[in-house]
Amino acid sequence: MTPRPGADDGERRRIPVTVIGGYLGAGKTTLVNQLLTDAVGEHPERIAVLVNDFGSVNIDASLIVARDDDMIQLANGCICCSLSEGFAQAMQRIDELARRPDRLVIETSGVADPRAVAQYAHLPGFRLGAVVVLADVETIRGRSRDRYVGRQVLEQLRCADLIALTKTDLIDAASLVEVRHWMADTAPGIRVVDAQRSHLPHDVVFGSSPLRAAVEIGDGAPDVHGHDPLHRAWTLVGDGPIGRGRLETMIAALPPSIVRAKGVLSLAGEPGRWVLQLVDGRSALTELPPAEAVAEAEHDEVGCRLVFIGPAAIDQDSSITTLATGLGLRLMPPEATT
Amino acid sequence: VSHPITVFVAKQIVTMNPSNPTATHVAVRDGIVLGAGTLDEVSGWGEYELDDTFRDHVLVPGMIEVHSHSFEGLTGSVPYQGWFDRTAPDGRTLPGIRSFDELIDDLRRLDTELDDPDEPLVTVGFDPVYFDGARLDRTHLDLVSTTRPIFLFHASAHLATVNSAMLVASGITRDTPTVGVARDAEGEPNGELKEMPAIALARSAVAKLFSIIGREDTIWNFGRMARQVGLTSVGDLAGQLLASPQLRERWTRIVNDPAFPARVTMHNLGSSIGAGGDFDTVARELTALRANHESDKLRFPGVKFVLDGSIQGWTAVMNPPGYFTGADHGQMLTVPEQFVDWARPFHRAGIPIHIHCNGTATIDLAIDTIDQLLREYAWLDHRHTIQHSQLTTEAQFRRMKNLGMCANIFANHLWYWGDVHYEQTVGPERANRLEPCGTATRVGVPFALHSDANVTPLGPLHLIWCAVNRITPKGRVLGEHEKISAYDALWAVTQAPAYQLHLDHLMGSIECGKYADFSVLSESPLAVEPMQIKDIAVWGTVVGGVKQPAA
Repeated sequence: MTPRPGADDGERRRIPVTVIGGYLGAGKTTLVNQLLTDAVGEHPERIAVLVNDFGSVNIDASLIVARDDDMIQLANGCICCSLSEGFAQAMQRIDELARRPDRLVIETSGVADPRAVAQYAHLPGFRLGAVVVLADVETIRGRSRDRYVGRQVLEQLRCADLIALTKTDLIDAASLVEVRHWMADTAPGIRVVDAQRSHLPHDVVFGSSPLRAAVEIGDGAPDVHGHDPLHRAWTLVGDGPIGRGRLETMIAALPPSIVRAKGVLSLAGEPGRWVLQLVDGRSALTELPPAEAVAEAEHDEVGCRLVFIGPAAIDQDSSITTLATGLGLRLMPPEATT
Repeated sequence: VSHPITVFVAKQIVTMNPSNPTATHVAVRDGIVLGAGTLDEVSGWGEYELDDTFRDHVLVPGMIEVHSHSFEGLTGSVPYQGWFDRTAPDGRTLPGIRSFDELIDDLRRLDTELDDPDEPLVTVGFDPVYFDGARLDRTHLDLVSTTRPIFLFHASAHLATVNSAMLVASGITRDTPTVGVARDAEGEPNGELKEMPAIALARSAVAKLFSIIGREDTIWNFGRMARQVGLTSVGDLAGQLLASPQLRERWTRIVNDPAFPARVTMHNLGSSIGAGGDFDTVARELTALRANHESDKLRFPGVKFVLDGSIQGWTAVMNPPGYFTGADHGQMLTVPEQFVDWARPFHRAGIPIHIHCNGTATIDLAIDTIDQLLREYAWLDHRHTIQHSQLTTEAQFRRMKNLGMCANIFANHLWYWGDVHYEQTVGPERANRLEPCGTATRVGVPFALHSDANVTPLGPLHLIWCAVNRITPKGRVLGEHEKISAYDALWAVTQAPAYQLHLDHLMGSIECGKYADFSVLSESPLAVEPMQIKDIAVWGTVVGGVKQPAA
């Protein structure tokens, strides 16, 4: 076979990419600066940050080793700007660095679609970690109705693997509950965590891979399953692998009202662990990176665990039962789903 | 030092100077018009040489395009496979391609012209909307070569189609998770790559395109393209000079070269790299650029901001009731509440602001922003401009009039997307006031016309033709009541853009004291049948008194 210059040869580690999205004022820059600070302290590692513009990053000057038009070199990584040459070129430059970073964080602009930006994480040399979208609890509901950006704000939330509520210390407990209810209706099935003053633990940001979101679905958002009258979730579990063809056929046969699915599983006759995602009728199977598969094993998550989400108003039990039977999985009782 | 006088004689001179509308002779000294009139009237300036090159031609004021892009200079540098015939900067006709068979034959010819068997074959201009039946995919391109990577960059710039060799060379497989890698029924990539994250996977092709864009002859060809279509001043409305001293050196050196055949106005992007979110600094840098690097050939008349996407991409942000059919993908490209803060430093520094607005909602935002800035800092003669301004309502035009704003109207859309707008994007009523030149005229908003080249081909006569006839490829007349006269349309590519650029004391009419910039035409656009305007032959131009024959 012809050499594939764009492909990975298996020896070169793919750099995990975390996309930080959210509207203006949601706290993206604060979070990025915190992650950079953590990376010289609690969680030593080399981080590359890709931003629209250097102006938004207010990094401690003592960390800066050198800078030019396109890159600020840090003691423990670098900050790159995507604006002049585009994401693909900037990422190629990062991929070709003499010392490749341990991870890449992309801070999107306030009006960007984070899921579209996340597609660049599939360029050679990289892999997609997660899309984290921040939401300012004081303003998010108003923004979602804004005549200019309302639809974009909603789409940002709905594309997230993890939604982090920021500035939660600025509103009272009852208002926060309202926001969480609203978020559960607005972005059903997506894990929601609190981040006061945009502070999020390193592990929550970088551990929120599709896997984590899948196995922990509901952990951070009990409202979705416990109180949300509009949506419900079904959890299917099994002990053995599933045939790829059978899985794809069964998923394709699901009614369109099943809006979202996530899960982790093994495929019959194929090594490794796999992540299933279904969003807006589009499903994808991606192999779990070995490091995460190990981490997953430590969590005692083996076999298959798939979560499906759809409107509560439509009776889907028969299609879900058919799915469970077809895949040889067990449908967990509703209380176990949450 | 002698300062010779040349008197040009023409079949007719349409001056666009309302107090002296027509002439037969124009006297020129040091690149400046001394006077236009009869020979008797202009001969008193002194000894002159009579130049009768244009005895059988019509002179109009040098036509001005404010809103195009220097990518137009790529025309002909990368093999062209679009549907419509195009003209290259050297005058060659680049024939349109009308069938898959022609496409394959053309690619086979191009394949044999490349020596290195691994060099990717890259073409531009292909547009699937014109081909009925099967969609182009890798199987068609595999008929050309199974070994050389092939990459067709579509006219929309949102799609590419590649062959199997390019998929292999780029490592694109059924396991590539990128959304935008289109697949066949078996789940294999079918060769179509949608949007940049997927297109960028074809690294070798993208690198080849970038290297061609970065060549100096792209700038030279931008000027040659202008000459070819009768423009004496051509605009790059998305310059990046503030970000790059190297680019600034290159542009000033090339455009100021006496051989460069057009004047250039460049509006630099305000939100470009290096801005650092600090627009006070950007405004200072732009002020310095204007003070230190402007010349008669190259100017930096304002700053550009982009607020939304396009109507035909359903990404323009529309007021209710929104789009006629299809899903609303309206996309703000600037955070709305930030815009006034971004624009303020430029307004304060006296730098005109040009704002890309395709949707009706973003036009509101632009007008609200200018209204706010004018309350904060008085500037009576700002001429801030809404670019594209395609569906501006009468109410919006009234506010623009009251605030002293200009419009630059994308007249070519009537032809290139008029039917799509009528049938799909905005529906009949709004399509009938697409590019509302009639309303702008009635309300009294100064407006120019633009091509947004290379989005549509550069060419002021085609713009006039669109504004006057408002006809679509399917034969519809879109908005009888928005038609304007040939005179008003010629005004909109001469005097009006000069005004919009704050250069109407130097350009826009053939008049004592202004640049001796003429477009040399076979016929007067005011005299031919309206439907013939786009077919008037262009001899070339005169820029600063120097003849610039088209190739």
